[in-house]
Amino acid sequence: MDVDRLQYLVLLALCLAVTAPLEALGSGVYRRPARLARAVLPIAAVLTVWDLLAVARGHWHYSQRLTTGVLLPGGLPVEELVFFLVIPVCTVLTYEAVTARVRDPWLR
Amino acid sequence: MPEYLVAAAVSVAVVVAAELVWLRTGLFRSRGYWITVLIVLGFQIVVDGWLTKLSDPVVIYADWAISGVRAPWDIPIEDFLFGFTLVTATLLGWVSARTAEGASKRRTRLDASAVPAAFDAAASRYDALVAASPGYHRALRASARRIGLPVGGAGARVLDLGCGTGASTAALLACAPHAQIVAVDGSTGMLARARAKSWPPSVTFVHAQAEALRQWGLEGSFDAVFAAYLVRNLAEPDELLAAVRALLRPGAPLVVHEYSVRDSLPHRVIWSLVCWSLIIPMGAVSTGDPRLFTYLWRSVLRFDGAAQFRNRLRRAGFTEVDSSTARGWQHGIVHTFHARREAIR
Repeated sequence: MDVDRLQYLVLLALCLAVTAPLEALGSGVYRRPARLARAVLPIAAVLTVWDLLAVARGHWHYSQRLTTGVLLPGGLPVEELVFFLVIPVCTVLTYEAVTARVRDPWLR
Repeated sequence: MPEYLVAAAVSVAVVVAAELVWLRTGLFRSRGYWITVLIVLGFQIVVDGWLTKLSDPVVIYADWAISGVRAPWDIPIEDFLFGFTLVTATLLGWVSARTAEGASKRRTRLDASAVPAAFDAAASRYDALVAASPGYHRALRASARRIGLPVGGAGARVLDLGCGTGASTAALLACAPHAQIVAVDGSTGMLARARAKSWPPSVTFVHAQAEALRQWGLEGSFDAVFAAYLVRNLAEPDELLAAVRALLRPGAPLVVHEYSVRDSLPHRVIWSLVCWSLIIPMGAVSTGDPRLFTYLWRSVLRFDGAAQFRNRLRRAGFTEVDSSTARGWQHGIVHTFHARREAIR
């Protein structure tokens, strides 16, 4: 497979790699999988539906050359679902690191 | 009509209303939340900038669906509203889920008292996992050499505390082949694996919790004590160190081989990366239970820094305390601590 088709996935993998060390700073994100799932899955579901509607309406489409071509039902590239899982996880990691790192209660 | 602009603006209104009217978590009053929004915004510019660059876009927008304002670079400004919705909704979910979490966390965490039982269950796969860790046995042998017994330990008695499946015992045997080695572990499962290997008659295995050593009443009877990957797992390390000191003959060495990353942020980060990318997934797949491995990760982060542990040894009455670190990927992560019971003058 052409390496270019992995662009989007690699970008998301980099997001995970860059934020992974934040786990050591906060009081735990990956360590609390049940809570993480409750935070991430509902929003991922809602945004996936939005994405499907937007693609159906023709708001945007995806480069076939820069995505793997693996499509979910409804024609959504699998990368989009991964995006909706990865970015919220990165967000929570950032939030936990910010609030845990600074002891000031004003920051919480 | 720029439908994406409308949808994105509505999504922001819905999320803000959800917090103010329904959830009321107080997230918007938290500085940490706004700092997070700014940090994520910074990353969004990089990631989204790459995805939407008009020279070679991953996502191609219909001109009629967007306002047409693109900044910075070629990012449609609608994407920032979308990003705000994503970040805020996620954090509202995270903060709301806080209360529901307490009860389940207590069940899934492993505490020090449950460690021997957890090792019982994992024992059968433990050797294979350890063998996959580059430099594991070499680092153990390097530490074992620090017991420094002359003539291969002839005539000496050496205690191997927390011998597990016998990896530390084998390292001791390699460095002191003529010594009498007493190897102790609190997990019957690990000990059964150790016993099943072939050992010379000079090696004996004993099932005991390290914490119960005081009851042995073997004052001053060992010429060296080796404790690999043990101290970190104890609820009361000071009690163990006091008991070990009593077991050593005056002037005899204690060598502790242990993870210690608290002194160094880069090594804490490396340790976390190695754990979450390799150790925890591999451990979970091969034993079916990730808890022992998340426990490993957590217990290492929690354990004394090298300087702290040297001070702990001194407080326990040891002298000539020093430490060195392992080579390879374990550099700065695994340490050898060397100390002596003071000699009688």
